[in-house]
Amino acid sequence: MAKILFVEDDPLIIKIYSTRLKADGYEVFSAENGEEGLKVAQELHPDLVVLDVMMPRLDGFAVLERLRKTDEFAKKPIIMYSNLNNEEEMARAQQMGVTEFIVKANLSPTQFIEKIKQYIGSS
Amino acid sequence: MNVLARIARNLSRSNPSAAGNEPGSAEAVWRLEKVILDTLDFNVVVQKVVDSVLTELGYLQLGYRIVVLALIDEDSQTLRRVSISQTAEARKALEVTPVPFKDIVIPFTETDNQCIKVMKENRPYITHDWFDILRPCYSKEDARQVQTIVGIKTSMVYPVTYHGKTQGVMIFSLVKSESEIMEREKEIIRNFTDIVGLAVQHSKLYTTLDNTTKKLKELNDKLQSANTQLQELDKLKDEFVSLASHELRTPMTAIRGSLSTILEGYAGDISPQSKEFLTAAYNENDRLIRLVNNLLNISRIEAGRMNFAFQTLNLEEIISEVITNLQNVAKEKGLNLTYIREGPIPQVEADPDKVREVMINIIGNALKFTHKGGVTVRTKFDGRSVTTSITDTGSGIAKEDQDLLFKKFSQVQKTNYARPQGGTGLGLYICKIMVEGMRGKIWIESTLGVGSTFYFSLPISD
Repeated sequence: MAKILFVEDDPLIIKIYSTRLKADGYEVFSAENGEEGLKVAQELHPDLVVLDVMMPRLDGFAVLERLRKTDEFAKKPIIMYSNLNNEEEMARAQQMGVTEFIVKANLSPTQFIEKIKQYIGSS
Repeated sequence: MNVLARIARNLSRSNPSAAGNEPGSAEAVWRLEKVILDTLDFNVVVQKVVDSVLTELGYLQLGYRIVVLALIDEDSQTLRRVSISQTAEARKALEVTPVPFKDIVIPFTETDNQCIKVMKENRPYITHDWFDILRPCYSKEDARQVQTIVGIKTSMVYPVTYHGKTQGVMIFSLVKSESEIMEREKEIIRNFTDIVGLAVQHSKLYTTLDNTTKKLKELNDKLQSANTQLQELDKLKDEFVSLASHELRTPMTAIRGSLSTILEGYAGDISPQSKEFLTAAYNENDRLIRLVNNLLNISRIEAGRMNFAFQTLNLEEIISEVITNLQNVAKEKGLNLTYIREGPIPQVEADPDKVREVMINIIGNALKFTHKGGVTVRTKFDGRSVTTSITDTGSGIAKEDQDLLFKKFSQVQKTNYARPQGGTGLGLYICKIMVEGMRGKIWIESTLGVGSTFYFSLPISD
């Protein structure tokens, strides 16, 4: 069973996505800030990480940077998403090796779930 | 300086012993030239001109006491006194004058005034009576009285010219009689007044230029600080828009997520009626998201920060994604939304997010303004670019309105197209900026009562 980690400080967003992903047979974990996200990622070895950009403690960029430096997450899919005015952010994330940067408002939840499946295959 | 050289030559020829501090000596003339021509500020020049005749040239020793420069004022068509020498006699005259010095202004029409005559005829004039040169500002009696108090016996008026054009006159008032004036003195004065014309003209030009430069610099400084302020404001505005859009889009995406979770049955069964209302809520919320996206796009365009992340992409993937996304809007209105591929379609070089926004805008519009029939999306490859067309069976757009469509805040009223049914009038403007930014083209063909087709082409990847 493929494991997905959401690092996201909004519990509603986590609930929306995890409801669907769990129904589709994925195992979903969450962490509510960057620091916790780093810890959970290294303990639970998810197959894919979804990172919010603006978070307390460590922001998405810092988490991305640190994860990419580890052997385990050097190549695993890491998706970042944000609702900011984000062309600069997008460029920055791409430089730091993000797998895909998604503007939340541009994709419906269904499309977002499709994206995730595209990277780790169906459960 | 030709004139001065000539004076100097004449002087040395007629008076070989003239040298040093002797009045009118060659050296004195050179000194005079230096004093006057070294200065460029107009106010300083006009004062030096009258003083230096007496000091540098040494004419005080020859009985010259008051020197006055009067210049033409073209605007008021008058001759105005601009400077007077700083001698005891001049000070006395200024004390007792019935008319303040600066107010001694003679209109060109006063042809009895000898200054005006000199100016017009360009010929010097000698008089024993100040009334001749001060009328009508002074009465005959005033002129006689003041002249007596100051002790002036003779006055000479010389024209001041530059390139043959009269600039004004110089008035020399002496405590000696006309018979005591030497020809050589007059000759030097005549030549000197030519220098005065030159110096006055140059300083006028320079001072005008200098003032203009100063004003320009001030203006430039002001513009620069205004510009800095504007840039700061622009940055603030940008930050505000960015933050506001984040704050708006976050709840809207949460609403969309919640509604779609319910609508797709992840939260249990819902009645058909609930589904209808929830679908409406979902679609309206989506419209809000698009609106905020468009406002954000506009602010990027205005700030010149619309950037494109080009990549090789499969257009059909985006089309089917957008169509899937908008399918429920179509269904709700009872419209068909279909995609037809006309032949094989190669990959294009474009920014996927921008392409998606363009499609959502155009297809969304088409659905909004079509009430019967449907919307058909087609793609076609012509050898160089891929053209996507979106055809609707809506009311069509009048010819005169078609050009307005792609303008900012376009309000196509004639065909009841844009505003009356909601929307900002920004969507197609943004589409145009985006498509053109991706080296593509966007256009429309439409017939009233039949429907419209929007086209946009994108170049293929090499």
